[in-house]
Amino acid sequence: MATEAQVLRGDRLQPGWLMFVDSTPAVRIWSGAANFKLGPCGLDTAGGVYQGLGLIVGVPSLKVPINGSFSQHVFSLSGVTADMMQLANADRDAVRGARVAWARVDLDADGQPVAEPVWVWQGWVDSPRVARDGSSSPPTRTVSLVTSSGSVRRRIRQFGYWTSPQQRTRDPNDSACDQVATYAAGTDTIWPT
Amino acid sequence: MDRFPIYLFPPSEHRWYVAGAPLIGGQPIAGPPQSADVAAGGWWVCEWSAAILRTRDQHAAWRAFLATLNSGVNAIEVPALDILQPWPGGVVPLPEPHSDGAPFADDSLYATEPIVASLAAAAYMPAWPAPATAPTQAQIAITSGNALRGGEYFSVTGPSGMVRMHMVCRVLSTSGDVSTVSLIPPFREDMTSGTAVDFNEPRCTMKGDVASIADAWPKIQPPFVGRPSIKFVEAF
Repeated sequence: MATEAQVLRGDRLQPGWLMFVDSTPAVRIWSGAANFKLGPCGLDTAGGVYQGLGLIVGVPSLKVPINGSFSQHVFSLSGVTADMMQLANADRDAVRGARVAWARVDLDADGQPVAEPVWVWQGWVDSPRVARDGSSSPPTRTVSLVTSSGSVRRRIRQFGYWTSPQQRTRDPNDSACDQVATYAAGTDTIWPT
Repeated sequence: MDRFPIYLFPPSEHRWYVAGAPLIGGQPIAGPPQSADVAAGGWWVCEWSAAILRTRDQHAAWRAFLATLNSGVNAIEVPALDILQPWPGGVVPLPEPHSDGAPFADDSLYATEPIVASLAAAAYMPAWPAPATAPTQAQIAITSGNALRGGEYFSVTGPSGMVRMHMVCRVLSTSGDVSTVSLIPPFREDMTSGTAVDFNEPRCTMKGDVASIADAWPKIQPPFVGRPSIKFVEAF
């Protein structure tokens, strides 16, 4: 069996990408044909069978947050199977906020993994979306997992705007924001007038 | 599961291949581009081109068959039409009559499965931690039949009941009637030792290719001839 270093040095690579969504039930899919059985490994502490063949439609370039800037990733999954529609509809609440992790596994020429899968990225699911494209023939239906990376979640806090109702919720007597509504959006106030 | 009645619909052309998902790294200044494959072995595709439908029975059977396909949603078993199997003595066996040349009362003849083979050791699907043998290797014991040479189709039925086709890629070693072979595509499930290996009528669980299923409905030409084509892809 070839070592990982030997396989990576050659130019005939056979990588597989594993996607793990830590929801209940967990979603395990991978880029290969047929199935891949993973024992407890890294972020997938329970292990399980990763389903393959045509479930992953699109993977964006994975980014990690640096200096507070964060990115949104949209993973597209084939939304034809019952499993995926279950994920997008019935399990929507279970999936939201679940951890998403990606691992890469390198296979040698015999299809045998050369080393333990490497977990390269993790994030959290914001919301699953279903999209149907009727213009293509045959029409396509995909499920998108909108995820955020790192420790940043794409969510504003409960009182996130400088408006009078929110300010008065903090303190009923605070009139500091009462005139905010008079500002017209999209105009710059020149100082001094 | 329904089985595609291949002998009813003789094709003009017919091929099986293993499709993959290759990626190449762009054309460099010199030399061939780097390549990779993310499909981990690929999946079977069967093209059945310009089947010849002439008789009333053929037309009716083809239509009924398409109805059971349900636009490619339902899975069926598609046998491989092949003559390279390790037939005993190297010849395709024909059904035999009684010793005086007479058939049975219903005109049928003696027929047994000429090739008897089984897995001599457990075989494994792709997995980590890596199993004892690679998912593209198997030990096949042939108790009746010729030696394997490479290129033969066979099928195995896994614990889930799905029948999967594989092809012998290379005979790595032979000891008695047990051959250690490499094969494509990788095993889809873990197989126990002793699982029957079918060389007589290798077949695969497949479904109609949705994108081309409309072409499978025959266009009728005078007098009443149809030459439909259909493409199957492995179903999971």
